[in-house]
Amino acid sequence: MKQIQQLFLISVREFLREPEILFWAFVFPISLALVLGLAFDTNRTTQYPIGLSQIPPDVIKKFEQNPHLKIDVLENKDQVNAFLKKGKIVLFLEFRQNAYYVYYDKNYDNAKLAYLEVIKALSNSSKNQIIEKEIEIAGARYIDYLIPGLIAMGVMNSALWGIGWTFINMRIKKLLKIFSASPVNKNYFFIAFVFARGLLSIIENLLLVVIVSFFFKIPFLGNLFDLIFVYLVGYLSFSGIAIFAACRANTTVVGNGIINAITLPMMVFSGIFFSYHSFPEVLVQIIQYLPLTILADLIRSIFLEGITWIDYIFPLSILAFQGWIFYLVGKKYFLWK
Amino acid sequence: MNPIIEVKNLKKRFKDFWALKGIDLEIPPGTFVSVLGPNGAGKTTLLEILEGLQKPTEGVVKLFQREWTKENEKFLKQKIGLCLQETRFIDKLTVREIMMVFSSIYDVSKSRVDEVIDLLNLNDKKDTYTENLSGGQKQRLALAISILHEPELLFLDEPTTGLDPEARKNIWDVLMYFKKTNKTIILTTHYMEEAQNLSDYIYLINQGKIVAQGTLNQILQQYSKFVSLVFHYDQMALSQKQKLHRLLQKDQELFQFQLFEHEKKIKLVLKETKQLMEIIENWIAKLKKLRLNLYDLEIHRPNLNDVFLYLTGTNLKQESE
Repeated sequence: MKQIQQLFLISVREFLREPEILFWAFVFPISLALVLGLAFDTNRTTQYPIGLSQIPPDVIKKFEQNPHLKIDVLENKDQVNAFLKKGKIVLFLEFRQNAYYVYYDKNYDNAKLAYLEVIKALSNSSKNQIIEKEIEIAGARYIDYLIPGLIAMGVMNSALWGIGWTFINMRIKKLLKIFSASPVNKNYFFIAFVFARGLLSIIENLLLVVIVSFFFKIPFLGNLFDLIFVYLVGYLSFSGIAIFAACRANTTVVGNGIINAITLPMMVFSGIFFSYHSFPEVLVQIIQYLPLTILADLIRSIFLEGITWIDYIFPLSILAFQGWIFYLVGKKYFLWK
Repeated sequence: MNPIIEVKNLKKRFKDFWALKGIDLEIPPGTFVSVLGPNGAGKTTLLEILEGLQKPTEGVVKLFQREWTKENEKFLKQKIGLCLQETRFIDKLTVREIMMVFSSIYDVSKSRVDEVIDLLNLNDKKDTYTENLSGGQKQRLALAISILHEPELLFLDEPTTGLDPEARKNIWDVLMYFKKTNKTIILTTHYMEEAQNLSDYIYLINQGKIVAQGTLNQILQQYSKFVSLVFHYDQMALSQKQKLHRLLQKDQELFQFQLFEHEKKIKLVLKETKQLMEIIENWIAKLKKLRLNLYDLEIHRPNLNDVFLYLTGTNLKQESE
């Protein structure tokens, strides 16, 4: 019994005497749970963004009164296409020839839930026929929305785990000290690792693009050069964030904690699995400037809308600027011992 | 000639612990210097400050008349070579691959890499992953990296600690070779023999302070009146040991003592020979009274270890280790 007691105490003492571990083991998961809990609070009404066209004003009023629906009245087909592809709406409702046409992806849960709300609202306000339609616009399916986001998430994970974790691991194993004692150019040191990991990341993501495009027939309306350029800038920006993430951590728990603290919220909020437009507007204003949001939106737009450099240069510059700042701070405070 | 290393009133504090309490050094070029002291004496801290890996809390440190500033960093790192106390390498790289990495950092040729691999006798291991090297081979690789760019000043932090006698001997051969090249070498060690055999000048350091310094002869000359008595016994029970300790502590104004249980010997270091016979007779009687079976008695002039024991009350390292 004494043995169990003493062995138990070893573990508890070791844990309690490392304030950093304490933070990442207690404070971080609780904070994350609180943030996510608030974001997905069941008391908060979930809103499904839908697009409307040619809908009679009294019916629009009904929709507006439904707290579960967030309405956009769309003018033309191009606008409908763009909104669907960007995930700004999950369902489109059109009134023509005395019938309501509901367009949505039956494989997308949020779209199905939006459909139920729409049916409920329509059955209370109109007796016209309701016709269900699968979305036939190339790039407006959920899978079309999901895959570009997954590519962006892959870029983030390659950088954060591939570069950030490598440096943390090197520090834990005391492999950095010998380099710090030499006149190694610190920029070159980081660049070498970023390029080496970047090469693997390109191969990894190229395979992903080819395979998913082939299997899921994801439309690619953009220019391959634009995609590669955005991909590279995105990867370099996340490399800067990775160096920042890895700059001080010297234990596995802390390293894991920091990387998860950066990646997890972005995976949830940046519109990888579902549109971030479902979040309250105030939150959307912040989310749209998260590095992963910028990259996912850009890759998605190149894939599905074929945007060119004029459209992406500004958001891409913001992403690059974020990466550069994180790199400079990370390099300055990088712990070599 | 300007000193290659100049240190004035160097102090280093970690939280509320002073690792270095005011060190002064002046080392001329071409000298092989040993910093000798037990574990925790502050040797590695001193060396890491000299190497620019740590910043001093107080004091001035100059290498080649330059302080460790951002502007001087590149110059100094190119001028010095260092072998850390425990060098770790990336496991899945071969000896030659590691050497090539550092040859690129120091901008040296491939032929120099092969020359150093040959010099350090690592030829048959050059294609071996570093994870498969023995402790001695890893240390030789660390030494190889440290001399790759032919530095003028070489720092070696306990390069033989933890090695078996044969591996240690191999490293000593390499260090002897370095010595012949007239480079300035700063070696930290807790092995008295290492300091005695290799160095031109020795600093004895304990608890963050230099307690003695000079050439081996100067230090031994300075304490030449000291004498060491070593009593050899065959068995000692715990109760005998406790009584012995009490007796030894009573006479501490006459000598410093150390008990080497593993080697079954008691060492007394006397400051002078004046009362030698009296102390011997007295102590033989005391030990007999303790029923310790003595079978040998050595009387000799002090070595560095004895001087250190007398000055600090602690032992450098068991001599037989």
